[in-house]
Amino acid sequence: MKARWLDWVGDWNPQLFRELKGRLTRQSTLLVTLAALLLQFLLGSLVFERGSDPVPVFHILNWLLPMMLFVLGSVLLMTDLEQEERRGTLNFIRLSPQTSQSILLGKLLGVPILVYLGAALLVPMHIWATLAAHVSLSFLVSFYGLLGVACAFILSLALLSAFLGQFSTGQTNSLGNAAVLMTAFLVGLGFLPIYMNWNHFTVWNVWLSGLSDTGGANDLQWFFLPIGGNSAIAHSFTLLNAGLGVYWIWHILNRCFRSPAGALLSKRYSYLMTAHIELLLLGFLVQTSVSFTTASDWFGVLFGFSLVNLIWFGVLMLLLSPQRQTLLDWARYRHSMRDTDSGARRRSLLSDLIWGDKSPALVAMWLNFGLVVAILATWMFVASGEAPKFRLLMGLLLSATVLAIYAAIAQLATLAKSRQYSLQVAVAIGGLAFLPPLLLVLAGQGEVTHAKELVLFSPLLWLVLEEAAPAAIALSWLGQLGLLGLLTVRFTRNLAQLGTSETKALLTGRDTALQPKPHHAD
Amino acid sequence: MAQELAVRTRGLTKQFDRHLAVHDLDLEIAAGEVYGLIGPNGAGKTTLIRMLAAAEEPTTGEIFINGDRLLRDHSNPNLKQRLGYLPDDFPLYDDLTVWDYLDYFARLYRLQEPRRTRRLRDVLELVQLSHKRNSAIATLSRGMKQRLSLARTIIHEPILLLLDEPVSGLDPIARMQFREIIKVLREAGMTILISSHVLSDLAELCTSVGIMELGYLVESASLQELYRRLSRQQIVLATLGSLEALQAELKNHSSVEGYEVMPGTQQVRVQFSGGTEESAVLLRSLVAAGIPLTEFHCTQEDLETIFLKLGHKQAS
Repeated sequence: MKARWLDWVGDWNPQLFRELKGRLTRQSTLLVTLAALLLQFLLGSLVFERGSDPVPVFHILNWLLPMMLFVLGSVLLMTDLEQEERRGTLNFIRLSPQTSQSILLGKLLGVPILVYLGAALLVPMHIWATLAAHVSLSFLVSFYGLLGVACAFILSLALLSAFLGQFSTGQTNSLGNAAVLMTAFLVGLGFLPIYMNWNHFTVWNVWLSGLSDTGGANDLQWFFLPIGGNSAIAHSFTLLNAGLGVYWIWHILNRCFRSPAGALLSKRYSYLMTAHIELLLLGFLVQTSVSFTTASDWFGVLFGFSLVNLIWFGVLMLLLSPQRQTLLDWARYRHSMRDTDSGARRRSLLSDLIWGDKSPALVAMWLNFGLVVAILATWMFVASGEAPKFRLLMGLLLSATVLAIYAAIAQLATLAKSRQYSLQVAVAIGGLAFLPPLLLVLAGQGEVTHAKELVLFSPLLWLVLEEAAPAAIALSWLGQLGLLGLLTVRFTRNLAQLGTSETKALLTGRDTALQPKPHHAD
Repeated sequence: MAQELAVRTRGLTKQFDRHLAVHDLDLEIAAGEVYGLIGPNGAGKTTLIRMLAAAEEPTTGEIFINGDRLLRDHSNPNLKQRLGYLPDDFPLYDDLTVWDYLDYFARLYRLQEPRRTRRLRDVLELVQLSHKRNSAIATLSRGMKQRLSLARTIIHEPILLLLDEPVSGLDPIARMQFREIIKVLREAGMTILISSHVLSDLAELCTSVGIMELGYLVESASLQELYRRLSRQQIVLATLGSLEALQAELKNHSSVEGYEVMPGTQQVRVQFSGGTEESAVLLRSLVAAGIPLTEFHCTQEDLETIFLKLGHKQAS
C-alpha cells in the first residue's frame, strides 16, 4: 500500500520521493507521533486545569503550528542544503534532466516532512479547540490557507538563504551552522510575531475580536483600501503580497540552482521588486487617519524609508552583481567587440547594462535608486502641502547618491581577487555609513554644528537636513556626485583593463603552446 | 564526418583568473572507443572532464557530443540524457539503501516502469551488488561504494561515460573488479573516457590515449600507434653460462642498440631496433655460438615508460 503511494509520488517528483524514502523511516515516524501525542496530552491537561476553558489551548495552537513549521522547517531545509552542497551531491541532481522547480519543490515538500507530519497530528486538536472556543470553522480555512502561503514564503526564503550563504561564506562549516541558528532566530523572533500580529489584527479580526482585545486596526488602510475593516480585502491583500513574494523568491531560486555564477536576480525583476517594496510600504502611509503636516514629520518618514532602502539595496546589490569571473568574461567579451561600429556598440552596451545578466550591476542599481526617488517624490509633491518640497527632494537625491556610492564601492570590491570580498565590502560600507554619525556623537554630544556636511555623506543625512544651509546641501551633493563619478570611472577602467589582460592571457597562452597546433579559422 | 565522433571539442579553453586550466583543446573521440586521459596533477584533466559533463562552463570553445552542440545555459535535457559523469570523489547519500539510491536516480532520469526495475536489476548485477540491494549505503566498503557510483552513472544508459580517476584509492581486487565492469561496458558499445594515474589500468582497457600537460593535449593517438611510434622493442635474454660471452656475442649485431644486465640475475635486457626477422637471426646466432639460453622473448616498453619519456622530452 505504502509502496504504491510512494511509487506514484516518485513518478510525479523524484526528489520528493528521495526525501520521503530517506526520512519517513519507522523509528522517526513513531517518534514524531509519540511527541505529538504527548504534546496533546499536555495541552489537554491544561484545559482541565483551567476549568475546561479551551481558549488558551486554542491560542497556543494558533501560535505553535506556525512556529513549528517556520522555525523547524527552515532549519531542516538549510542544514540539508548545506550538507548536499558540502558533499557535492547537488551537482549530480543539477546534471539530471529535471527542472530546478521540480527539484526544489521536492526539497521544500520533502525535507521537513516530519515537521509536516507533527503539525498534521495536531490538527484534530486544533479543530476541537476552535469549536470549543466557539469560533467558526471558517476561521480554520483562513488559518490553514494563510499558513500554507506563509510556509511557501518563509521556507523558500530559507532555501534561498542557504544558497546565498554558500556564496558569501564559501561553505565553512561553523559559519554555516551560525547562519542556520541566526535564521532560526530571525524567523522565530522576527517573522513569526509579524505574521501572527498582522493576521490577528487584520485578516482574522472578524473571528478573533470576540476572544481577546484585537481592536485598533479596524481603520487600517493601504492607499485608502480598507484592509482593517474588510475581511475579504484583508485576505486578498495578504495573499496577493505573499504570493508575489513567493514568486520573486522562486525566480531567484531557479537561477541560483541552475547557474550560480551569474547574477542571481535578473535586472528586469529587480525593478519590479523595488517598485513592489516601495509601493507596499508607501501604501500604509497613504490613508485617511495618517497625515504628515510638519516638516519634521516628512523628514522623519523619509528617514525611515531610507533606512529600509539601505537594507533592501544591500540585498539587491548582492543579488544583482555577477561573480568576479563572470564580470571578467563580460569585460573580455566587450573588449573583443571594440572593433565593431561604435553607435551599435554603445546601444548594445546600454541595453546590456540595463537588462543583461552578466554585465556589472551599477547602471541597474542607479535605475532602481531613480525608481525610488520617482515614487517618493511623486508622493511628496502630491501630499506634502506646506513642507519644504525642494529640501525634501534634495534629501531624496542625496540619499540616492549615497547609495550609489556604496554600490560603486561594492562593485569595485567584486573585482578584487580576494575570495572574501563580501566581508570586506560589508566592513567598508559599514564604516562609511556609520563613521560620520559616530564622529558626530563623539564631537558634538548631540549638538551638531561643524560636522553637518559629513553627516550629509551618510544615510543619516535626514537628521541634519532640516537645518543644513542650502549651500552646504548643494556642495555636499556636488561632492557626492564627484566621488561617484570618480568611483565609476575607476571601476570602468579596472574592468576594461582586466578585460584586456584576460584576452591577452588567453591569446598568449595559445601562442606559447608547448607543441603548437594550427589554429582553426572559425 | 567520415567516422562517427562521440566527442569533439573545438578550441576548448577554461580560464580561472589568470590561470589557464585548459588551453585551446581540440579533442576527438570516436564512438565506441575507450579513451584514456593521462597527465600529472594539475594538467587540466578534471577541468576538461567537468566541461564535457556540462558541470563547468568553458571560457571559450565548443563541445559537440555526437555532433550536437553541448550548451550549459540551455539546460538541454536530451543531451544530458546521453552523459554519465563519475567525479573522483563520488559522493553518495548515506541515508538511502542501494536500491532506493539507484531508483531515485533512475526516476531523475525519467526511466519508466517496467523498464526501470529491469534496468536496476541489470545494473546491480553488472556491478555485483545484487546481494547488497537492501543494505544502507553507509555500510558499504569503499570499493562497493565506487561500484555503486558507477551504477548510478550508467543507470540511464548514457552513450558517453566520463570517469574521473575511477580507480584511485581502491585496493588491487576492487581495481580488477572495476576494470572488468568497464570491459563489459566497452563491449556494450559505450564510449568511455577515463582519466587515471594508474597507467597499467589504462593500457589494459583503452583503445586510445591522450596525454595532457599544463592544460594542453600534447598527444592523442590510438594505443597501437603510440606503441609503434614511441615504444622501443626490447628482448629479454637469460643464460646459464657466463654473461661476458653473451655480451660479446651481442656486440656483433647491428640491430642491438644497447643492453643492460639485470642486477643479481642472469638476465640481459636488449634494446632492439630490428623487426621479427632480425630477432630470429639473433636467436639463431646466439644458439650457434653455444650460449646456453634459458629465455628469449620480445617485449615492448610499457605505457608508463612511454609516459615518462614524453615527460622528459617536455621538460628539456
